[in-house]
This record gives sequence, structure tokens and C-alpha cells, in this order.
Amino acid sequence: MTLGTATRSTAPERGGGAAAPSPAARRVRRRYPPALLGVSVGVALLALIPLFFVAAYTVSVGWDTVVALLWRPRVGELLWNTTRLALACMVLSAVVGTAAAWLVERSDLPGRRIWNVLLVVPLAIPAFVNSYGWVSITPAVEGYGGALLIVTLSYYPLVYLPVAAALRGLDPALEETANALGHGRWRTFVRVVLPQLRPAMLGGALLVGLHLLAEFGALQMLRFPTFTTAIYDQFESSFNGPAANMVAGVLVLCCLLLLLGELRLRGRARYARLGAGSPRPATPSRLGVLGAPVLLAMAALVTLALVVPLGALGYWLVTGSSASFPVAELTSATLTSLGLAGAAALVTTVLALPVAWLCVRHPGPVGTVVERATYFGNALPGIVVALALVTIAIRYTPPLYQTVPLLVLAYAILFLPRAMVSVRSALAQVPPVLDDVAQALGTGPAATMWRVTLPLIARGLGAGAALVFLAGVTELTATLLLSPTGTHTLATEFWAGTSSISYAGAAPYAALMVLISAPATYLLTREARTAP
Amino acid sequence: MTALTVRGVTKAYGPVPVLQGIDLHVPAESLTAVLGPSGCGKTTLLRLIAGFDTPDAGSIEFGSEVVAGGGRSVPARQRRVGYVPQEGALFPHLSVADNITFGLSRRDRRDRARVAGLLELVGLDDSVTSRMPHQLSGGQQQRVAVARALAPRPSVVLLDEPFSSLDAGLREGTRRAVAQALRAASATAVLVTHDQGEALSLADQVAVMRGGRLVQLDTPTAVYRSPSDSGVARFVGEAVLLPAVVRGGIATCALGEVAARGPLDDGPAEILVRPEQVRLHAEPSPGAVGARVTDVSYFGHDAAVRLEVLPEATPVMARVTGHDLPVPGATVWLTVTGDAPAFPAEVRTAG
Repeated sequence: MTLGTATRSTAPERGGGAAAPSPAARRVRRRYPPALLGVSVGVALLALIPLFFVAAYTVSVGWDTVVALLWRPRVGELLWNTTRLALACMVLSAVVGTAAAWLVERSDLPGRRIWNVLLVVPLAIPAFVNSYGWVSITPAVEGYGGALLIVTLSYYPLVYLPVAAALRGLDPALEETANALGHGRWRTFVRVVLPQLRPAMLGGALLVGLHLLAEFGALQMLRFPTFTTAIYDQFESSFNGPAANMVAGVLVLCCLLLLLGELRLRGRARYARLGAGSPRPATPSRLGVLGAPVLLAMAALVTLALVVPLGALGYWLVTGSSASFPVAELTSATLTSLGLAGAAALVTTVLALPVAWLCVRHPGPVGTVVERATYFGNALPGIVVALALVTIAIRYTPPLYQTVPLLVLAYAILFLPRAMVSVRSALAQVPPVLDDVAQALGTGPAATMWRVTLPLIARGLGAGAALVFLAGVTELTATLLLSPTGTHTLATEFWAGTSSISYAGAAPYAALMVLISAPATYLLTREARTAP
Repeated sequence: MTALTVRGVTKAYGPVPVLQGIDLHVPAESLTAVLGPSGCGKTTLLRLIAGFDTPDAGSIEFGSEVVAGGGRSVPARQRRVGYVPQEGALFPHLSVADNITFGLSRRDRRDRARVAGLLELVGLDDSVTSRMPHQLSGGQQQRVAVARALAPRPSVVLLDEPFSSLDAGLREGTRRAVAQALRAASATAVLVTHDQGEALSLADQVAVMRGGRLVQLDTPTAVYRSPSDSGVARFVGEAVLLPAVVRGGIATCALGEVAARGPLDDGPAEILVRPEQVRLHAEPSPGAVGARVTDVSYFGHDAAVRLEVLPEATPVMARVTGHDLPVPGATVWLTVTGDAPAFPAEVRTAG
């Protein structure tokens, strides 16, 4: 079918001939500016450190040791746990996210605007805060069933957001045509709508999988051992044991598998709507007698995902504040979190700029490879990045071990993809012809950057930095392993509280994290609205 | 401003030759239109003149200064060219005044009288000074782009299809305003376009390009009336090309006997008749040939009438005023006014 093959067109080779080269093609330059190329490759190498580490380690210990370390019932059990949790959560998230998106975008469900917000808010609650809320109410959620419930409630918005955006961009004329051809509502959905939503749905589900493989806090709290929690436990007990590193290798392999799927999807991610102009708003499908049960189901979903964790949090906040409210510690942890996240945002955005520049302005194989390299951060669990940096720092640069720069570097590797997305799209909206005009008017490259490009991409840079900042505030795993002694962030203080079953003591830290990350939700929903 | 001379310029992208030896002279303070179908290399030529790219061979001179050639190339920012790309490409974050003064020195940027003068030059009101580009219509944006290009008093102004993105209503007014501004500023200008009407109506000189070569460089009248071959003839306007036999300056063709122009030996030839040279008559007269009307396209101010000349049904076209139109199926009689250029019969180059 034609829609499926209409991928984003890659820039054709330069050349005149019979067809006129488009202005974009004419800009393709085979020569790369050496300084830009050098900096970009440097950033890419930085982003690849954890991957190099895992690969080099595996090679260095030799095949026999690898087999001895991995061919154990314990590893088999972890693999089984990780796989069944990840797959089940991906399927559940896809079903829940897609159904909710269809109801909000295409049905006459009352209060659709409010539902849209309520369905995304769970993203502002870190998964480990969500599981804290549940565990503090009932220990029954420990184990597979509870873990599946809680991670699904935390991560289904990752499917909901892209599917809702795709539905919004889907021309209702397609559905109307199917109706006119005699298809009922269900057959239209299965044969016309669902195929169009597939890239968004699969992409979202793969993202859920990647998040799950990286998830540590929530699963540790629910006592459901997976690769990530096992690596952490081994690190804590034997410090940099070969077993931890080998399990990290297996985890990275799983992540790369998912990343490969995501990359393959990304190529055709935007076929939801071709042609210019915005589509007419769709006529909402009538739910009829199903209205009441559907409303009830949505209410149940929001209750489980929002009301329970936030309610528990509020309860412990009230109970705890009657006991003690450590203002000094809270302030210091907040300032530390803000400072670290701010530094991470700045460094990551600065690192993203040259790479984005290279792949937007000099598209070609080199730019693609460099960009993909920075993209690995998406697939690398915080635990692996931390493990790699700890080991490398101890072996080669001991003074860097447990310092702020190393922690910020870990954040940069982890969150580079988030900054890249914003910076790239901002740069792509600055037509290169503006550079030509500035040049013709006698302006040099540096002045053009300062007077033309930077003012135009400032908002994109800001959005990218904000996303990194907000991710940094709630980062737990890498911070636990890398933060300097005596440095306490909101996340680590929260973790210390829950580890000692001091639910009331942990509550204010969790509340602050939720408050600070609430704007992330706003940014994400807005981004999803503007860029279907 | 200075004259512009392009000598033997070639350019290839990979194995694909885009320009194959271009020679072009643009006299100082005149406007030359480079006309050609898309893909003929005209935009590449403009980019080489601007300095965004370097030619593989040949030279480009501004007055007596060689800006490209002999292994060296003056970078674009030192060439002092005014560049007006498609759709204007105003800096979206700067006001009209800041756009216009972008290329001036820091001190000159504060000279608001200069902005007013330039706005007046392109026929814009002073009130747009503080507006942002998105608050302007397409035609206004294009005029501001021209003012911006003229502000630093460039040696040469280069316009790359500047009117193609405007809708028909705005296009004519904008064209006229821009051409007047260029004349008033005594600019040496090169306008790249694929629109014949634009090239013929605005330029002092038209350079017709085809397949990376310059096939004709002449005044608008000469290009239209005496095209160098039938391909150019078809490209610069509607053309009726008919096989003919020339004898003693008279060509005999389906339309009867027509005075032939061009240094041509007697024998078979192809002659070019423009549709507006074909006259329709209701009654037969000496020398007129009979034809049947197949189709009439009515445009209001005039109409295109498609006919089949009897008896062999040779298709021809006539352009007539909007009054008194024939109906399809009617039989009319045709005569040709004026003379017609004749080409050797074998040459049938695609336009």
C-alpha cells in the first residue's frame, strides 16, 4: 500500500540532469567541516563508552568465563522474569494505551479534554514513587502480578501519547470512506485505523520495553528480581564483580534488540497523514449503551494510576509532618537535585548541538552514524551506564570517581537522545537559505550563528534542556551508584527512606519530585500535540 | 554598479555535468533574465555567481575584478552581492527594519532614514518598519527581501525565481515594483526564472538556457521574434511550427504562402508562426486557407482557438480578441500577418 511505503524522503544525491535538484538536495555537501566532525565524533564516542565497556569486558574475560558466569540457574531465572514482565507489560500498555487514545480522540466520551490530561499525568510520577504508594498500602503487590500492574500503570502513557497524536493526524475521511464502503465501526477500526496506528503503537510499546529493562527502583521495591535489580545487588555486595558486568552485558543485548526494532520503525513513523492542510475534526463515534461501562473503566484506570499513589503519598505526607518535617535536609536535597539536573541540562544540550548540526546540515552516512551513536543512551539502563563509568573511573581516572563531573557525564549519556530530538527539530526548521542570505550580506559564519541561527533555535534548545533537566531530577539508579559521598538528591533521600521502611520520612521527597516533574508532562503533551 | 562577465564556466556534481561552458555578459546597470526549464542549470549558475559554490573551470568577473577563476575564489561574504532567494527568506526573528539593515555596519544599522529610503524604493509604506515578517503578505516580504539585498549597495543583485511563490494577483504588482526599484538603484541584476512572460517583460536582455548550455542571449524582442532554433521558439511562447518549402524568401506551408525570415537556402524548412499572427476570417479571400474550429479556450481578454487546416487536418492555433468568437465545428478562413522565421527542416530540438 502506498501509505506504508511513503517514508520520509532521504536527500537524493546531488546532480542536475533531467530532474531539477530540490533546494534541499542542493545543500547536501560531501565535505564535512573538520572541527564540527571532530566534536561530533567525540560526543558520539562519549555516548558509546558504556557499550564499549560491556563489549571490551566480555572479550577480556574470555569465552569460558562468560559461559561459567551466565550458564547458571540464577541467570535463567532473571531472564525469565525480565522477559515475561517486559513482554506482558508491552502488550498490556499497547492495549490500554490504544484503547484510551481511541476513546479520547474518536468517541463521544464525556469530558475528553480532562481525560486527555489525566491519562498523561502518570508520566509525572516516577515509577518508583508509584510502587512506593502501592507497597505502603498493601504488601500484596509484591511479586509478578503486582509488578506487572504497577509498571503498566506507570508506562502505558508512552503508548497513549503517540497513538493519540497519530489518531489526531489521521484524516477522518479514511474512516468515512470505509463506512461508505459498508464497514461497521469495529471492522473500520481493525482494517483501516489500526494499520495506520501500528507504527505509533509499536514504537510506544518498544519504548515501554526499554524503560522496563532499565527500571530499577520500582521493581526493587516490589521485590521482583530482574537483570537490573540483580546487577545492583551484586554491585552492592561484591563491588564491580565480574558477575554484575556479565549480567549487564546480557541486559544491553536485550536493550539493543528492542532498539533495533525501534530504529526500523522510526523510518516510517510519520505516515499518519500525507498532504497539506489540517484534517477536519472527526465526528465522534457514539458509545451508546457502552457509555457507562467505558466511563467506569476509565475512572478505574485513573484511580489505579493516579489516585492510589498520590493518595498514599498525601496520607504519608500528613502523617509524617505531624512527626517531623526536616526542612534543612529537604532544602539541601532539593538544591542538590536542581543543581545537578541543571548542570546536566546545560552539558547535554551543548553536546547535542554539534551532532544535531552535523546531521541536519550535512546529511549523509557520517551524520547518520554519529546520530545513531548518541541514540544508544535511550537503550542503556542507568545501571549499565553507572557500572561502566564506575569501573572505568576506578581503573583509569581514580580522582574522577565519585565526583560531580562523572555523575553529570552519566546524565549526559543517558539523556542525550532527549536533547537531540528537540535540538534537531529546531535546527531543521531553520532553512539553510538564511545562511546564504546572511553570507551574501557580508556576514561571517560565527556572526551568522550568533545573529541568525541561535535566536531561531533558542526555544528548541530550551525545550531540550528542560526535558533533560526534568529527567535528571528524578534519576535514581545512576545517582545511587555515582553520587559523591555526602551528596544527597531528592531521589536518593527518598530511596534511603523507603529502604528503611520509613514511608512517612520518604514522602516529602517524593512529593517534591512529583511537583518538579509535573511541567515535564505539560511539555510532553504539548510536543505530542504539535508534532504528530 | 559594475558589469558582470561569466567566461566558459563549467560545473559538474559527480559525474553529472550541470553547466557546460557558459559565457554571459551582463552590462552594468541592466537586468538580465536567465530563462530555462527546471533542471537546466540556471540556479547553479546563480549560486556560482553569488559565491556559494565554485566553478570547475572558467571565470567570473565583477567589473575588472576576478571573483572566481584561476584556482581562487572570493568567498560569498566578500563579493558584495545582493541575493534574493525564492520566497524572500527574511530572517523570521527580525523586524522589517532589522532585516533591511542586517548587512550594514553596526553604526549604519541605526540610520532609520536609510530604512525609510529603501522601503520607498521598493514601494512599501513606512508603517511596515516595525512589523515582523510573518505579518507581511508574500509580495511585501519579497519587496523587503529586495530592499535588504540593495541596502549594502551591492555590485550585483541576484534574484532566484523571486516571484514564483506569489499568487497571480500579487505577482504582477510585485514584479513591477521590484523592476522599478532595481532600475532606480542602478543595479546590475540577474533574474533567474522559468516564466517566459516574466523574463520578456522585465529584462533588458534574456539568456535562454537548456541542458546546461546558454542557447541564446538577446533582447526580449529578438528572443521572441527570432529564436535561435525551434526549441527556443517553443519555450519562449506559444508556437505553431509547420513544415514548409522555401523558395525565394517565400515559404509555402499549410497556412499558405508566408514571408520567410532567416539566412536560408531554398528547400524544405520549418517555419514558426506565433498564434497572434494568425487571423480568422468568416469569408474566403485570395490567399486564405480553410480550417475547421476544433476547440475554443476563452480567457476574457483574449481567446485561444485550436483549428485543423483543411484538407489535411494540420493542427494550428490562433490567438484572437475576446469579441466575436467562432464556435467549435465552424469553418473559417485563415491568413498570416507579418513574416515568420524559418529553421532548417532537420533540426527538431526538444525545448
